[in-house]
Amino acid sequence: MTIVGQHKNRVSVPFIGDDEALARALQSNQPGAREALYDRYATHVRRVLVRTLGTTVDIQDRLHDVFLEVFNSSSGIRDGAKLKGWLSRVTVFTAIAHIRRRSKRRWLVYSAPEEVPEMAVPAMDNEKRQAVRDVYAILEKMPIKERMPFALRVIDGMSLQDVADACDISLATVKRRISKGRLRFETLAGKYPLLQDMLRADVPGRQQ
Amino acid sequence: MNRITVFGGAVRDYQDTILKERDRYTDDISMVRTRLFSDESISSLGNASPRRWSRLGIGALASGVAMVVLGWLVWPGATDGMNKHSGTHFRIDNWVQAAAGETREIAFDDGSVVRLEGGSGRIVSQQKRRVRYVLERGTATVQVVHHSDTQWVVSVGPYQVNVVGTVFEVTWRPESQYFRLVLWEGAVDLYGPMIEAGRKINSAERFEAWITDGRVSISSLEKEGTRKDSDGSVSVDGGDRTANDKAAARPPVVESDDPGGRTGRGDSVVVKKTVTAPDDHVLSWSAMNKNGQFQEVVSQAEAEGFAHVWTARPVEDILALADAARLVQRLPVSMEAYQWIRKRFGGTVYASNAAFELGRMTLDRHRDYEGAASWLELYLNERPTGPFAREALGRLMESRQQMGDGAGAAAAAHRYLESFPDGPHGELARTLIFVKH
Repeated sequence: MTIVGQHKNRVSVPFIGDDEALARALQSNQPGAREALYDRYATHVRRVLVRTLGTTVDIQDRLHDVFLEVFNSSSGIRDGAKLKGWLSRVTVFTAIAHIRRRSKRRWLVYSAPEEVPEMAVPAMDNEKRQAVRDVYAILEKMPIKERMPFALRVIDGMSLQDVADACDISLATVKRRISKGRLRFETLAGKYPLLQDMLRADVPGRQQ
Repeated sequence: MNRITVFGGAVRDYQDTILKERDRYTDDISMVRTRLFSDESISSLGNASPRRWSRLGIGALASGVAMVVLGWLVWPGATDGMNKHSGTHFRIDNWVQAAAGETREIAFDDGSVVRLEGGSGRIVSQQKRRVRYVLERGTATVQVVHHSDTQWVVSVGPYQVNVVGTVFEVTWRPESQYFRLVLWEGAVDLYGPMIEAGRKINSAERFEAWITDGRVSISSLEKEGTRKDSDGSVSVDGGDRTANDKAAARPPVVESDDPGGRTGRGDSVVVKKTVTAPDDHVLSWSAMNKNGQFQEVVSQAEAEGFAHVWTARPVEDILALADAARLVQRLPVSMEAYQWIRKRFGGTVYASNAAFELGRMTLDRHRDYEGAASWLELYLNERPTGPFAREALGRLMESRQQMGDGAGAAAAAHRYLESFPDGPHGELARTLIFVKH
């Protein structure tokens, strides 16, 4: 599919229509459809990228990669009503491609260009910051097929069905992988006392 | 709700806070939108698929490997020439040092400039117009030209200045725990001790902090008649600093890497050559911590030999090692570091703060309530109005309570409520006072 360049004087008209209409507009190259898709779901895509890759990823480059892939493969939308799920899937697979590319470059001395130092968040103590870094260090050690569903379910809080759609697997498979991912995560977290503290933190409403 | 769900929620909340903070300075969504839908975007490549483009990108990276091995940072984001200066590439992550009275500049080709006076600092990272600069000590005048994607983070001691386009000067004297920010143009958000929630500093304002004394001051430059010179350089009338700065500052001991000797006072020395990094073991551990390189700090200390570190290293390095060791769970190393600080630098604010950290670790990690109480009381005796007094009293209350020392807990609770009636331990304090033992 040819990607058409944009004209300087083109005016963006807000797209009015549900996801099915938007999917149809996208597939028929209707002017403004891509912008509308972006405006509707860029925040969601960014969130999924951060949950699966962490906050040290170069968010803008990854966001750009996802939508480039989206525009190139919009003919693959099977059900316009599930447009968001399809977007999540493209995002997850773009994140997977990034992880695989990055692991091939690990021998480089410097951090990969996709990773930037995390922006320090004021009033966040170092321990919390380190604990979350430890989380993603553990995720790096997990098989991708467990890491992705685990991150989407446990960290993002996505529903099981949405996780299944995003990972393009069945509901039964996603449950199994999340269960395995949980076990693996808890085992690996044993080497990180900060995480153990967080995992042992009192749960509201539970008896001591 | 099980604990891993709660845990996942905590991670999610942390990330959302980071994103919210990020959105204050950089609009990812808009910037990527511009990239995707501009005339010059990748979409104008026509039939090029993203996957094919990625392979091309990897090929380009491979061809750059030799340059990476040589130590030059040649990332795609850096080839827009930001670092070029007189045809010489400045090497990211190298220290730039200036002796007292000497000035060194790093100039970027978008017009942004960092001018260092009598101290040391370095660019930790730079990607397009996102720059992270650490001022280790001394004074730096930072002039950032605003673009839509400008995002500078300047770390100065325990403070962080977030910048999108402005001119300001920062000073850090670690030996006296004195910080100053002078804002000449624009506005910045400043975070750090005593202003943890952040404070906007506006044009023609000066912010000063004496961390040891727990004191801050915000004053107007306009009232003093300070100005920016017509040649664009920034200075205070008479080329002098405030009386407070003179009182607070002691000249930092730095060495110039200019073999020709020092230039005259006030002269600018523009970096015309590649500056070489000093030995990584010197003055770099606190900056490495800021960069999250905790394990590396500990490894370097191990390689040097802890015995040597404890007896020969300056207090800033031992502090940095104590922090790093704590964060990578080498608690015995961390505790030993703090104990050596007390031994070698007794009577200083560092020694008092070390007592607080020892108290905190003893309580949090070892649940040794009696030991924790001793350290916390030591801190409170030495620094009753210090920056950690509130937290120390709160933890002292907890320790005494856990020891079953009701009277001691109540005494600490009274002290707490006198000084910090609205503090986070206020409720506990009120409970302790009314519990009969």
